[in-house]
Amino acid sequence: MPPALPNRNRQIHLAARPSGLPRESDFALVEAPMPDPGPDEVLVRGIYLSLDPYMRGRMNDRKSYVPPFKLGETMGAGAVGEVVRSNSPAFLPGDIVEGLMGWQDYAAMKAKGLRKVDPKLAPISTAVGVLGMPGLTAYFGLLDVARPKPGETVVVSGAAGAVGSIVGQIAKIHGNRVVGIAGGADKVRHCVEDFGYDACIDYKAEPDIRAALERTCPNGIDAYFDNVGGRITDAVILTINDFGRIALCGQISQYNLEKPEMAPRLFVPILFKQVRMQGFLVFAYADRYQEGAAKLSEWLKAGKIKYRETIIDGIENAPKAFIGMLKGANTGKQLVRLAAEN
Amino acid sequence: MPTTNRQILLNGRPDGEPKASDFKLGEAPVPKPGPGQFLIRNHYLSLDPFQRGRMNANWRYGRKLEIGDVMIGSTVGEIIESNHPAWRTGSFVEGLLGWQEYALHDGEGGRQDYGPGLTRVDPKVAPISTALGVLGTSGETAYWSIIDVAKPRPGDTVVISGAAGAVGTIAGQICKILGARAVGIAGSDDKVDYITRELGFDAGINYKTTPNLLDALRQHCPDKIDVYYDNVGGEIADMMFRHLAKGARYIVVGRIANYNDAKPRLMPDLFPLIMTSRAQVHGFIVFDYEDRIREARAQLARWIDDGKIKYRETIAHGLENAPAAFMSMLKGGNTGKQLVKLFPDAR
Repeated sequence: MPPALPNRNRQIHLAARPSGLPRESDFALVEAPMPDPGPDEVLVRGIYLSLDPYMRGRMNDRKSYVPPFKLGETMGAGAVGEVVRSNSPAFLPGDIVEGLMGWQDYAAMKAKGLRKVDPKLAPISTAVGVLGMPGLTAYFGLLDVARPKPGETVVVSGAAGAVGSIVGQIAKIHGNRVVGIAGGADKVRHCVEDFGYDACIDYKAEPDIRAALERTCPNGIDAYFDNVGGRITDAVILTINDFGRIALCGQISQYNLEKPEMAPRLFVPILFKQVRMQGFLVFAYADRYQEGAAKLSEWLKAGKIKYRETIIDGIENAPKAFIGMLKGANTGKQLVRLAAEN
Repeated sequence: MPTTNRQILLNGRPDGEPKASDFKLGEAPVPKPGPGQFLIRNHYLSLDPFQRGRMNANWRYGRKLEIGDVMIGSTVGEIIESNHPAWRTGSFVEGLLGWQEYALHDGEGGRQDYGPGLTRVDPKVAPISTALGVLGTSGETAYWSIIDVAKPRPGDTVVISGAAGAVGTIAGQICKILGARAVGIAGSDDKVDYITRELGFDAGINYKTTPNLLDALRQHCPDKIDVYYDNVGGEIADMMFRHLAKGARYIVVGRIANYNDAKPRLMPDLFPLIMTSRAQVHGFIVFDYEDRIREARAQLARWIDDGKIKYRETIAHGLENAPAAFMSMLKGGNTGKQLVKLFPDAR
């Protein structure tokens, strides 16, 4: 018998639009009535809530590639959870599912917005990590956009993050020399010892990133997977080889800024080195998700890919974890555990 | 035979825009061809924005000039004395022979990276000056960057900066041939008239008199920008990022506004906009297509014959006027290709 349902549902709402780095007061913990699933809907109890940098952009009242969150409404997010009631023939209570459930303990979800997760295949949290959006972003962004040839040098910024840590490992499988850029000695150690990077630069301790890149990339840089932007990316552009490829996947250093940062105009080096740089969002590969997911789970099963998670308990702690992630406190995937797995 | 070879030498490293004193008119004896060598009398000198970059002390790409060197530049000229059986007196050649009236050559060297080799020019095909413009590097740049990199689809909107320049004029006309919309940005009403009335651009924007470039872009590009073809850089380029269509291509062909910068200038960080618009940024240099030069030239020549491509030249007279013409070109004084006719009797 599943545990009895509470009659209240805890949610995190957007209370104020942040200026710069969000504060906890920009979020509000709200108790709402337990939702009642309609026809073809299922009620899902969230287990792992995914926190991702793109959410910071949606907190602004600015049109981007996804619409902004509305004030006074539940923050959006992907999550993995368990079906507790179902009005859909496609799902049974007890099924583990993944979908855009938002920052809340329970969600009534349209059946077609959910994807079934096989708990025997891998730990269920991987459905929002290495086998979900971050893993697919790493897979397509590296192999399809940055396109390193075996033997080439790949640099990954945000190297210890949910996406970066997978990018680095796929690049190793692909036969590349892989150099990471991460913040802090712990992350640097994880990158080298756990994720197999050939070298990793601690940008917080390194006074001159360009010099560090020249030191760790004796053959220059052929492909760059960018999760952070800003001065780290400037240093890479100055170091990259002729015909270098850049996958612009995230720009986390810029998301909290009120105004765009003033940065050097590096289009002259891009011109003379004939660099190809591409803005990349994983949605473009929706019709190939299965291919990517199959490869990633094969590598995961074979032990060729490792992953790390930074987990905090309780929806009430989600804002704190989110702010920490924007400052780089996480290694690997940042999750909020909403409830225990059965 | 002439005895004096006039040359323009690099006399100082410009800080920002070059000044007349950064150049010096020098005189050297006309060299005598040795065994296997031949002497070329240059008829036209090509002035190009890239030459500005080579004047900087910290230039990192291609051969940098030292103080006292003959300025780098392409010319087209006639062989007037030859000790080489394959390079006959009376034939015409194009090559990187510098800002000077005469040059020696041995026929060796490839054309890679503006290499030291020569290209033969047939004066019966087209006026020889076109070997420096529409049928030379400018035309090839426009051709390959549009055909192979920008790849506009019919109906795509292509915005071209430096639209009335040597490359921009050709690039826009190729876009029209491919069925795309061409919107040009140029620095005078005359230039805007020229590209829209004579070259068939769909619209033109005079960036010097338009109070709000972004509004003008919204007006002329209601479906946003699919390709931004950049000869200019600077603040004009910054504005484009705010109006890119999803999946846009940004082709960096020139950054004339930035070549005078001693250090990279600071700009608002536009990379987040590249990410959200899923844009592709390509740095383009024509050297990569050196083994396909003939293909581009043949197609461009056919289009000229068919009246589908027109070209214009802005010509200064006499080597001594090359520095002034160069400084004028950097400020947009030219329409089409900027050339210097070195002798009154040049073809």
